[in-house]
Amino acid sequence: MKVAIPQDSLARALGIVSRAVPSRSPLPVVSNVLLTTDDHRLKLVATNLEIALTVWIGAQVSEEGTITVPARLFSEFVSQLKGDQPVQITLPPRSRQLNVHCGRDEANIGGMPADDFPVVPEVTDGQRLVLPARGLRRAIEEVVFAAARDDSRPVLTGVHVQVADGVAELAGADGFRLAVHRLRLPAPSAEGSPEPFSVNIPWSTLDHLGRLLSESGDVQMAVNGERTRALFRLDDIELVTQLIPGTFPNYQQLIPTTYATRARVSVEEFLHETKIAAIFARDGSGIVRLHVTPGEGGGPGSLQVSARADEVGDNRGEIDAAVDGEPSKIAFNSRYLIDVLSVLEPGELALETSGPSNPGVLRPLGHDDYVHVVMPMFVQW
Amino acid sequence: MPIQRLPPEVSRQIAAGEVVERPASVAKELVENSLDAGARRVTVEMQRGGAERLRVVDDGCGIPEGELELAFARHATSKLSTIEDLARVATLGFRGEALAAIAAAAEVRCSSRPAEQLAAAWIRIAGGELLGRGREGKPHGTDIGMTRLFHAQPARRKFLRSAGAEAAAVAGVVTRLALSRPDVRFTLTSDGRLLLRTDGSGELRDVCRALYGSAADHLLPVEFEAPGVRVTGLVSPPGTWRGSRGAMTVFVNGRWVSSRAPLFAIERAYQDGLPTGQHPLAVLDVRLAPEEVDVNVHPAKTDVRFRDERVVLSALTAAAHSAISRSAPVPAAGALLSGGAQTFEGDDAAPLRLVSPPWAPRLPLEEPAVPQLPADARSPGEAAAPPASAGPPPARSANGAGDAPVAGPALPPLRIVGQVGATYIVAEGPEGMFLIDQHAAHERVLYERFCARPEGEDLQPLLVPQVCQLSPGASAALVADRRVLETVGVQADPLDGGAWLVRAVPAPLVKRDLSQLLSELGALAAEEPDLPRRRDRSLMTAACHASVRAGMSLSLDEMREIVLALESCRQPRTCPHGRPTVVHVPATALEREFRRR
Repeated sequence: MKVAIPQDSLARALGIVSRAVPSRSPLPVVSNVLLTTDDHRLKLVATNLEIALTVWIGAQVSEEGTITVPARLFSEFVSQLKGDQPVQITLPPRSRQLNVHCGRDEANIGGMPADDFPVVPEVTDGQRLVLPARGLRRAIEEVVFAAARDDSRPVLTGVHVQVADGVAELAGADGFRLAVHRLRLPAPSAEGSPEPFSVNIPWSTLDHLGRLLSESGDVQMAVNGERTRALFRLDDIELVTQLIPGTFPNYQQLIPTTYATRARVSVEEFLHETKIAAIFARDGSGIVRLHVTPGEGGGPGSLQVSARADEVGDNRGEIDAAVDGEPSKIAFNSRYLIDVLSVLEPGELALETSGPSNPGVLRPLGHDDYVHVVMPMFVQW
Repeated sequence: MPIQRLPPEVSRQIAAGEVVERPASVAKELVENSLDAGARRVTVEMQRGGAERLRVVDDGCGIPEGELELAFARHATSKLSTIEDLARVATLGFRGEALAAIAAAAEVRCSSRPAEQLAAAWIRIAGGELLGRGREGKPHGTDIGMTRLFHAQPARRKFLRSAGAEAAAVAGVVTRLALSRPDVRFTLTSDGRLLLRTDGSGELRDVCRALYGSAADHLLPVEFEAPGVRVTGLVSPPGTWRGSRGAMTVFVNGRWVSSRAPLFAIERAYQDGLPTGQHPLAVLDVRLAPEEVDVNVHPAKTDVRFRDERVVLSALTAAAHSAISRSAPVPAAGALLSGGAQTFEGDDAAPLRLVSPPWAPRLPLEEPAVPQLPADARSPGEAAAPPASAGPPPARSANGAGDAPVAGPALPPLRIVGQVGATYIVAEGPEGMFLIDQHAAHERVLYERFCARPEGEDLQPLLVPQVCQLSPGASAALVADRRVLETVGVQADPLDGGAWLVRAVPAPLVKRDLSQLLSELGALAAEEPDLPRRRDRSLMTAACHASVRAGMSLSLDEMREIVLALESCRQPRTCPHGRPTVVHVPATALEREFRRR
């Protein structure tokens, strides 16, 4: 193998695939990155056996070849090289020592044969669709945090993606809260709109994907016929992931359709007061109490955010709220409030409640594509 | 008193005691009889833990009308006839004592019809005396019901435990028999509620699914053969653990064995992979030539002797090990990845390994009183039993001076240095170095919080109620007595088949493994008769589940929070079980070690 590549594009590609490299693995070859010449490009692959990331970069290939080298070592070395010189990569025939040469720097890196590297499965048959990169990034941000992190209910560690009628609906839930984002798909192309389907994508996959997405452009998604794997393709990057089998709970019925009290507040102010209350809530199981009071005589109402811990102390903060309905009180885990408020775009939201023991609903105002449902905590008021 | 031959009713009762101790032993004898009779379907019903009523219905070969009465005579059996047969016992029962013993201890009605007989014949016996007989229409098989166990022996009735405990024991017996015979359809109900139903598909995995839920899908098949011994069954992959050995079952030639040595042998296969206090799931059947095993040690036949025990034990270890290692790469990777996000902590912790010279283990904080505590607390029942008060056991007075210093000098303010082995927090204080067991410390913190928790406070309901699969025994115990759940603050309702629907949990238990928590609480409800102690132990169990585990890397903030909370505990020096939370390495000890003085 003999290849010359611009330093910056090699460093960027290594930065991308390295995210898939597990920090520890019983299979040593998995901590390596696979380098393969592919026509006039160099293909880099890394996998943690759950997801695989592939990046192609333009290169001057004068001799074909393939090898795997330790991802971290190679990536750190390349990122330190000078940017104005091409990186020359040479692998002598039947050798396992990769020679890397750039300007006056040179390194030899011991590799392992490419045959040992896990084969990245192909996703060819099945469903395909196109998603807008920017919208998808926001949807991922607003949903992934709500997916379960523990394995006690494996299906909930996935984000449910349901495609139907020109909309991709992403839903994450961990048993205590639910986040749903409706993402409008670009107008169907000549092939017609995609068949409805639904899959559960591991939250960590979407987290990876979210970091790769740019502000513009499209993402192509494909799901294989057995619904066991999905592929995302962005320009020169491919991400293949395993899917989580199982039936996601029917979450539509969990979203309350009515409310007794609705308070419109500023997202930033609400988040700020919740963070203050969380300091005091820390010793009391994270309980943050909300009191919604309608305004009198046309004045604005208020939302009071408070917390208390026995023998530690208490606090109260208040923000303006446009209140519709009766006065109400409800308590939430501070973590859950902070999680959702941190990902919402600045602006206004509506907090809808129906008593202290029924789920609370948060809806950002101005766009109807997102809803968050969270279970309150039962407390002694 | 002159020596005399005992009257028959007395000797009957004495012999009955050997076989019939409690409803579970009756269930065992009756179901084994059904299996020996070639039944494909066995239904067990019990009321009030089986002491009130226990009924076993099967579709086996039945007892011919002419032999019905003889079946209830002592040492009457159809399973062996000569002394040579005893050396090659292949049926489950053989001693010919069971039915006689049951009939001596309770009221029994037995109705049976062999397939070729036109009608079923029934007899009713109580205290060994025939009360009545007749004929009735029935499908073929045997239907035997026992009512009012020990009604004539109030002294023995007193030894029966709570309905929940007895129900759990019966469920344990039926569970093990169901595991030994996947080809037979078992149904078990308690007070009308379905506890267990197996489908008789012949697949062990299907039985496990009925018992352990989805964990069954991950179990690894075991197929092992060595000269003279063959081991088959299922074991869990590393990472699928239970908090007790309740899900470990070993059969020898199809017969369940109660001794623990085989369980230890299986655990050995997991080597260091097994976290402390955690146990795998396993259902293994060891096949030996019948001559190699002596099952006729005790009437209950759960204690067996091997001609060469080492062969059996090492076969078990090797069998489990081969199954685990064959499956190794993939699950190991999965387990690693899920923790991958936080692992860079590991590199930072490495230099701290300097800290393991010989003086490390368990240096007392100051008074020598603290290290004595673990010994106290481990002796079951006494020292550790806290007062029955609702609050946390404040400076347990029962322990006298031993705990006295705890209330006064709490922990000094500590600065977090790092973490060793993802298990111990290293901190610096005015008097040198402190090593803190993160799990024990967090457990102490949460235990005191649980104790101080007002009823109904900080309950986190679930948006989607969670289904937890329990063993029939644990489920039966919880159905009979829900107080342990109320104590901990878990709101849950039983469904059919040993499943529970959890609706709300206390905040610290959010995102913990609820199935395992409920299983352990169920076991507690079954085995701990003393109420205050049960309350306390259930809070300990909850605290243990809610706290960080050994082996979890923690951020500096997380460690700081645990240590701060520990400093404000009433008894910061020991975990609720009495193990030390903190080990102090005085500055002087460090200086000595480095020959600075």
